[in-house]
Amino acid sequence: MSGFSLRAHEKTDAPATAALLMRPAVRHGTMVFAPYTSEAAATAHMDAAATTFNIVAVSDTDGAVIGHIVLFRGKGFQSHSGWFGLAVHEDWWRRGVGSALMAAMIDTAHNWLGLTRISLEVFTDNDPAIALYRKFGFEIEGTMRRRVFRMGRYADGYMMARLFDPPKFSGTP
Amino acid sequence: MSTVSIRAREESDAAAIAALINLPGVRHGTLRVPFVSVDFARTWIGHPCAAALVAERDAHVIGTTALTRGSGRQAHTGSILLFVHEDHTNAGVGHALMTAVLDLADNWLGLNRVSLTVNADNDRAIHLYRKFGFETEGVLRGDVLRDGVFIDSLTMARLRL
Repeated sequence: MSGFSLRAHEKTDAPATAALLMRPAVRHGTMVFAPYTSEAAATAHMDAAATTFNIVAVSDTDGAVIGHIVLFRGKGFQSHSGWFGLAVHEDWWRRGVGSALMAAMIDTAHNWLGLTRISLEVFTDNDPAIALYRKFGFEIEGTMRRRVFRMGRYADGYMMARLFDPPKFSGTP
Repeated sequence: MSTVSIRAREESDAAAIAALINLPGVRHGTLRVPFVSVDFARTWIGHPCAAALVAERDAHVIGTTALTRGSGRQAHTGSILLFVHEDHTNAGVGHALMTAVLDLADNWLGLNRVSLTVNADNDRAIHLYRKFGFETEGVLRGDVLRDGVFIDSLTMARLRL
């Protein structure tokens, strides 16, 4: 009885996803979006062509987009790695949405794309998010001082990452 | 030894930049995949950045640096990269390029935070960055694949007080 489901992000979800990211409580945790970011600008940040994995959590009651996770894959000498952004509607915090999105993203990244490194950035004061990432095995790799401007101040960010063993070869039975 | 001069990078430098990046020692220190084309270098040069410089000696490009500025809520930040010809290390080339690009960052663009990443085993580069006030902020484990091995990167940053 979780009350929500996961599905692929569609182009038609863009307005709802942008609106989710622009909610003040959600935006407070992001490092990119300033107030009055247009839907077009928010959507450009999750351009389907640039993303490797892009899904939403929707409410079973009314289909509203209440969570979002997007994974970007590195190129060239970083094609083994990816980084992601996560957002959950504040009314749905502590109800398993973030965990479900993280589990789905990690499963795809590791078991289907063969990534061996996944990283993220998070504000050093975003304790619930940091706790979630730790639960999924992410470790702090460093602290970026004055990383982003937020509500009139420079805010620090952690770099966090989790490493995975490379996929195995099954051989021919 | 003739002097090093610093000038703005131009589109016509693409072939020289490609040749520089394709040097095995440069690749080892800075990370590109082998066989960088002139077309790629031209595209790379064409990317908008706040400053792009080359170092020349006897009319040969022996180093380059570029400063990319963050946007929006990260407009106070910049990130830099630096390439120096492997036959011209320990000759003040990196020093001259860093001096010029950080002067731009500090005194002409007003940046508050300049960051970079460097291979964790590139002692010479790390030493240079420390000399210019960069401090290590983190170790990115297995950040890049180099010649068959996942190696760590350091992220370093320099704050203007």
